[in-house]
Amino acid sequence: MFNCAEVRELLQLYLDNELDGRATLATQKHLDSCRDCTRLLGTFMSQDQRLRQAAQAEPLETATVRRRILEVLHHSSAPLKRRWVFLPLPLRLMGALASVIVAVFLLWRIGGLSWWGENTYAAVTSDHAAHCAETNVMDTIADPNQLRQIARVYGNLNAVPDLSSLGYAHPRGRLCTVKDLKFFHVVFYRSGEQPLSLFLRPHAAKVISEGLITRVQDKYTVLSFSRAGIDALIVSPLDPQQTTAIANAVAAQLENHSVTGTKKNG
Amino acid sequence: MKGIRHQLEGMADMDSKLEAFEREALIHLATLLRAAGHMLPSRQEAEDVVQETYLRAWKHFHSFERGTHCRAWLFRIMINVINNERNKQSRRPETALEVKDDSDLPQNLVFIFNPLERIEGSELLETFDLLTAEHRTVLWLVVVEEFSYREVAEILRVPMGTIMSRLHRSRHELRTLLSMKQKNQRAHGS
Repeated sequence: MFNCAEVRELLQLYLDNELDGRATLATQKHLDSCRDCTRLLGTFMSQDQRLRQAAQAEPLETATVRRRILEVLHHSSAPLKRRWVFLPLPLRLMGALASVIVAVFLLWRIGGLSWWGENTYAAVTSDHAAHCAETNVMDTIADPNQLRQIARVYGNLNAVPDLSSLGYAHPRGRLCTVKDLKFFHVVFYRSGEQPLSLFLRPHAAKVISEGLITRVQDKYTVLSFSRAGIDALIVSPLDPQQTTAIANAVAAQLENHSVTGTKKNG
Repeated sequence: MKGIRHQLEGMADMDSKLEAFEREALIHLATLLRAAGHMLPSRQEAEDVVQETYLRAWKHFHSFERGTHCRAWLFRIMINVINNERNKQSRRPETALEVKDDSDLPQNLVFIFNPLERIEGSELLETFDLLTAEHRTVLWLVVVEEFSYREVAEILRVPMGTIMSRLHRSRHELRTLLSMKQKNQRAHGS
């Protein structure tokens, strides 16, 4: 037969009918002769029962939500073909021709990369160039605590990426706007070289494509990728191979310091 | 002609799929909405989450095995939606109340909550809403929805041992909060 300490361990399981037959009988036998344990069980039983009753009796209006859900479902279910099949042949042919023209235009204009992406590379490059000049250093923040704050709010990161192992020290950062989107912009310095810029923001599919993309823009290597729910652009005075090594170091840190911690391939 | 007939058959299939969805899944709307109302900070968020839950359920309805536990399946989807929303908003994880076990309290307080003493349902739910999101979720699923520990473990994707310990803490915390509330009411003569 169980003692009080053993029964108290099992009381919850007994209450929720999660005990096997043997343990249930042993617990029941103890409860038959123990007032304190029975009172404790009664307290929990009553609490559960009252909670269940209160929840089920709570007034609830569902008509509006139900109507919205059905509208969404009907809209998502309506196949385009349902309307398409009843159009006369000439109109269907015109629709097909228009689709082909749009597709050709997009392929010609985009060339495999979104229009938004193309302009982003140019925009961050010019932003980098503008803020690396000596005269613009005062636009940026050097205080590590302030940088960490900006990283968290605008970069979705718990820490500013650290490139000291690669010889980059004393980063300076700022909040910048590129194509109406806010980025956390960090400038890294290495002795004897032009600075390097890192632009970070929470992932948005239209901004940066998932895979690693490298471009040469003016005299810079511009590299973009997405990792752990964060989009990153690097503007570097180095060649693509060296810039990719830096990108790998940054990507590893994004995984460790991302606020959301969502892992994506980059 | 064959093509048009195929289109019309497709439309009929879609209508019958919608009917089946309304019959099997939409009947649990009130259940989900009520639970979401106590798992989320506002009614608006609860409605948005439930709407998103049904949209996802609809998209995956083809993979749902008819006749099996639709309510548990919907709850699993809803918990995923809630977790995704929480991750997006980068909410800090809540910490549980610090009352660890009965030895923290004067012994007479342990039994002060008289199960026969009236407490309004709305007051009980208000007190319930003071628990952390994690504790509210597990307590709601086990006590109100009467899912088994195994079902709750599958819905929340955590081990059964975690369910049991969360449940133990949440029941204890609710009891403590209710006891304190009653003690205050007696002290102020209400």
